[in-house]
Amino acid sequence: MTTASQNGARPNDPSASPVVRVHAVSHAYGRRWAIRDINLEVAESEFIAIVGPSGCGKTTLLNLLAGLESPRRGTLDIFGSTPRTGRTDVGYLFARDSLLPWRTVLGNAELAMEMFGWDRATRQDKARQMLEAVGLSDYERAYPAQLSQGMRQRVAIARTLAPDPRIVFLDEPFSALDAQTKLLLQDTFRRIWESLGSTVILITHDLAEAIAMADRVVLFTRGPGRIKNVYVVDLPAKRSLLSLQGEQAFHSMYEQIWADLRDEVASEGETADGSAK
Amino acid sequence: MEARSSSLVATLEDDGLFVTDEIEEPQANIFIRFLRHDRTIQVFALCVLLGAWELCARAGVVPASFTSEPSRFFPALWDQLIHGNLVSLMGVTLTETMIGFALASVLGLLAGIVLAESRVAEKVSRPFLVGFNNLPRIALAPLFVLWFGLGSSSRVALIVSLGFFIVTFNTYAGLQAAGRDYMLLAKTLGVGRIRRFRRFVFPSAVPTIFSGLQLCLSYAFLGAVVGEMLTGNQGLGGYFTLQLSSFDVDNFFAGMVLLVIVSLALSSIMRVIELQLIKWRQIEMRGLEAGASGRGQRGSNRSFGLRPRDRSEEF
Repeated sequence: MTTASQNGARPNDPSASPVVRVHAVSHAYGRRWAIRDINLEVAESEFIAIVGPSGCGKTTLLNLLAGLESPRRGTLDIFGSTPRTGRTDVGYLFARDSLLPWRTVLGNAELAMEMFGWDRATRQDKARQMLEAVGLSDYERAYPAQLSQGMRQRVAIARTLAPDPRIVFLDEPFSALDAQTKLLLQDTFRRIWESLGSTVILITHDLAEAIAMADRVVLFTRGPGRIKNVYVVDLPAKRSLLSLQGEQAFHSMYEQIWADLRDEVASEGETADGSAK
Repeated sequence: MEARSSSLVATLEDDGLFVTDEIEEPQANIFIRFLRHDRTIQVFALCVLLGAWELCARAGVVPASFTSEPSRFFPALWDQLIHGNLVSLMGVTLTETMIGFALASVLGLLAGIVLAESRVAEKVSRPFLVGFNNLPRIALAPLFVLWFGLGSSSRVALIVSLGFFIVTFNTYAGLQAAGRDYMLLAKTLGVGRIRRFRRFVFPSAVPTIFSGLQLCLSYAFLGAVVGEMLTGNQGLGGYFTLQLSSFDVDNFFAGMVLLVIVSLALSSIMRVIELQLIKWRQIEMRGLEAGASGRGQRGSNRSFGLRPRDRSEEF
């Protein structure tokens, strides 16, 4: 188990050129800094997780990467160009499934590709493949209201991954689910990702989720968020998330990162008491 | 769907992670049974109403010469339909209603869309719209006669003045209903304004728009009949005035029954179209009707409790 250097942006494989570059980025809302001096590089096909206490600016960073906002300071680039919305090679998945209730499961899975203007045959084909991968083949004609919360999020995963994005941004995608459903979906996602090989950036406050799913974990300090540390996850690339709980490596990894994260969560508690402000 | 969902429940159960809930199928049966039940109650209620009416009139509780009775106005309706000119009068009223309804709907829809899409239009015109909407439009009916003459066009104008605002406000309200989540999704997918409207905003407004259209239809009949009553012996309204002035209560109620049947038929046609267009909405609301319980996990309740609280770092 290796711990990368402070503020370190160290891709898994140094020979691969990074597909995402975040250089000295700071962003503020009004006069309050949300994130400060973020430096990060993500290699092709890498799965990284960004963890931190709530309010640490994780989602801010994702919004910047997604091109929803522009940073106050610093530069970001994805495949060598400034982030913007509407890229066909970028996928997004949020905590809320945002399924359109008037579309069937298939229609929802096709949505992104339809908006990209792909032809019907291609998108139906890809949507069906992805629905099969998430285990919803029998449901393509159902409406979202007929599905459970976990199934709805599976459709959202299919919608996100069907266009074969080279980069996928996940913003707390499993946080609205109950514990078991969450575990199943994390496993499903990781399995599909292993076969797709796209680059994934996962935002989460759930440390266990970050370690179980990612190859590298980036720990943020409490807001304004800075990178506190970066950890390389020492678990096999092909892993079953359902059996990780039994593995010692997973637990020691968890304890190590939690020791650092706990400081941030605890100090946040102190400010919340009003003593610091 | 039922059979499939129970098969999924079975596969999930095999993973040992899900507890079976087998409420899907019995639920469907209860739903259908309820529908049948409702129909039975409706027919029963109608029979009771007509029977009570007949009995009261015959027993002299109410004077039959003022209230008529079913055994007299149903034959009168038949007689008027075959020998009288009730059919052509109904035709006149129906034509006015439909033209007025169509105009009010199209204009209202357009106005609602403009209001929802243009902040300036909304800000500038809102006080005017609210002001006009608060005018007692029925009182304007004589003015419309002055402007458009004694013919059908004055009635159409009255209907449009009544229905336009209903459709406008419902369309506007419906278009506001498209959630922030959809807007975010549309934005990340790089969807342009027109496409966003067609694919994300408008479909979520359809249920609200339809309830506006239903209301507009009722007001269209109201406008047509009231307008006719004011201008004299045209259409059903004219017929009502004529029958009442000659104390012919049987013929009056005969006309009323016809009006109720025709307007009910039109409403039902609209309802069928609505059900076809927004099938998803029916599915979404299923299980939330009275009597259905224990569907906690189903998506239909949108699980407010399961959603994460809004995080401060979010936008």
